Amino acid sequence: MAKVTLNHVWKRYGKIEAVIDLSAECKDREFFCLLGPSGCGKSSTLRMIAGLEEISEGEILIGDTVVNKVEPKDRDIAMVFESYALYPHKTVYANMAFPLRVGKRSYTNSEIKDRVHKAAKILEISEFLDRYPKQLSGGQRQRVAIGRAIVREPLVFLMDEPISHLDAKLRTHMRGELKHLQKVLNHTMIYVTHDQLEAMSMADRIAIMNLGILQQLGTPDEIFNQPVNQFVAGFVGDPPMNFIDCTLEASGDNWQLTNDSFKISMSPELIAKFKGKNGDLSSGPMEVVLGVRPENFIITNEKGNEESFPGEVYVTEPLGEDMIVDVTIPKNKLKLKTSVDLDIRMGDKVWLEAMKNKIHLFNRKTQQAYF
Amino acid sequence: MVDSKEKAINPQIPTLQEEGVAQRLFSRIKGLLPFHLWIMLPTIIVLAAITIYPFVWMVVMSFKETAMNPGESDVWVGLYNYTRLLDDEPFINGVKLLLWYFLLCLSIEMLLGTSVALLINNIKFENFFIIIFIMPMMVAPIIVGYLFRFLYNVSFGWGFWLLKSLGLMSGETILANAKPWLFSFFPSTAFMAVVAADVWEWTPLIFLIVLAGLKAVPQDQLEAARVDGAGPVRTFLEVTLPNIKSVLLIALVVRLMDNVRYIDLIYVLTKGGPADTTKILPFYLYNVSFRYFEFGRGAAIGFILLLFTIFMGLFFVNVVFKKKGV
Repeated sequence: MAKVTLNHVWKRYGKIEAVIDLSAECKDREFFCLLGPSGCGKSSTLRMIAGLEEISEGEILIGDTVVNKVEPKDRDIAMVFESYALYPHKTVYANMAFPLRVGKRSYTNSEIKDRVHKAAKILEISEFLDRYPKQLSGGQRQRVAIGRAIVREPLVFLMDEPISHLDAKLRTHMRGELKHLQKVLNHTMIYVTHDQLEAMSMADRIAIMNLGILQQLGTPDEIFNQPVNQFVAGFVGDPPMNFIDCTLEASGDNWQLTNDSFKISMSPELIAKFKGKNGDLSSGPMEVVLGVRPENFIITNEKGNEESFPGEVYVTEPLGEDMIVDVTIPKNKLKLKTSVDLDIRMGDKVWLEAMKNKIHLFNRKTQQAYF
Repeated sequence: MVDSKEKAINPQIPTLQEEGVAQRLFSRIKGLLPFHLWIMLPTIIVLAAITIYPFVWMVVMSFKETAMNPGESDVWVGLYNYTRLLDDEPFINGVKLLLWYFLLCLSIEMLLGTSVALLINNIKFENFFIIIFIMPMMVAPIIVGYLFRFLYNVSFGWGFWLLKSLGLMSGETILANAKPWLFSFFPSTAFMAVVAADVWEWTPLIFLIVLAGLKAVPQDQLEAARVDGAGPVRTFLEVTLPNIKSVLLIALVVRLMDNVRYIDLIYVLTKGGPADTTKILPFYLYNVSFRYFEFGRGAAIGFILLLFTIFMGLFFVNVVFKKKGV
């Protein structure tokens, strides 16, 4: 159990910069998620923490120790690999006992047996201990891989997309199991994933990365409700946030977001938030991007109020309880999430209204969020 | 099918009735063998001609005393060719030396080849080193024999000079019937000299096979071992070695089967001498058959060698494919 600190960490592969000036801290006993699309540097970051990659610049601390020059075996970490990396010629028991047999701390045979059986019980793989990895299903192998990591009670758990190869149903199940396990073991866990759903549902805090750069570090709630830029806003949430180019104009105290299809007036609170982020309209209207999540539209068959705007239903995707509706407005196609009860069909004309307390606004040039 | 109109134009084409006979004959022949045997038949015939027939003939020959003079015919001697081997001094000597040859060549080559492969794997200029190391393998065994004869030569041999200056050689020549320095347990220096040449030529093969095996060891397992806390020795013994086990066994079998039929190097280097100290069984077999022209006895020895090879091959193949959990 220890915190993990990254101080201005860089990773370069030749001329390619995989991780750029990354500073973050994973607190003690925290479930910390590194989230980002493939190639964003999250796996490189994890491998640097594990010691499998050299740190090009900066330093990494586990606890209070700088581990830049410490061998992986001396870092007291355990890692679960994307491919599980089980030893095919060893039984499940031998796989799980391996870290105990070869590790720095020495255990007696009965201690090893106890620990393996305890871990197997937690992971419900007791009956497979005599089998070989090839005789197990993907989900079972994955649990063996986790078992091999937890027997040792290391300072930090590192997980590199451990459940991305499982089928959807099992993945949902394992999400809950992993989160429960982390709380039960009460250990620091750093978890790498490209699946925003995994990150949102399991992590205490999430670090979102893109192109090697840390975009935002915060709780799932902060990430979801206060994204700092357009990338974060678009990466988290399913279906993703709708982005609509518009112009922000001020005439006295009356501020308006305008577009070919709508005019939305901004409330004093939103104006205050805008100004709070150094938003300035003194030099005339500004090009901005309006961000609205699919669930934050009100969709009606009739024109609701003067800020409603019309659109045409492109397609509907009922998902049982919810329904995803694609609506075309001039220049944009929006994805909306609504109740399946709503009686709309392809080609229908509908009226949309954005929930004003839930909208986001981004600078079109810098892509940074105002709110 | 040909109708009558066409028949009138071209009387050579058989009519329906005539064709029926040919077709029935054809299907009768076709029915003699299942279809898959028919398409394998050419291969079977060729194989039979070039291996099965000679093999059977060899076995038959081993029960006979073959006659070389015109007008004489072979004499059936039953198992005599086999039983006489029991107190055939050179034969027993040949078996002993062959076992020594296996033991020394295979152990040294496996150890050396594997070590070099481990050293070379993933270092800088790896390809350059690979080319350097596999060069001996590309030299024909006859040439290797001559090369080593020069090296061992008493008047100008560099190898002889080296051993002598180091005080390791007391004899007049390396290719002597003397016991090697330190260990009187081992066969003669001449035998060790032959082993050295074999090792020089064939270690690269083991090296190459093992290197290929090392490349196939999954990277993630090695990384997992690093994180799990295993040092380099542990990682090798518990992760790398089990992963390359089958490759090692294949290399072993290949070399084993090579050694059973290995005479060219010895032929050039020592011709089995001095005093039969390098006359391993294959070389003795060569002498019996093609110098004494006792084909019957030669066939018996050959058959025993063949059985031995098959037995060893099966043994190793069993070990390879009886992997747990697969």
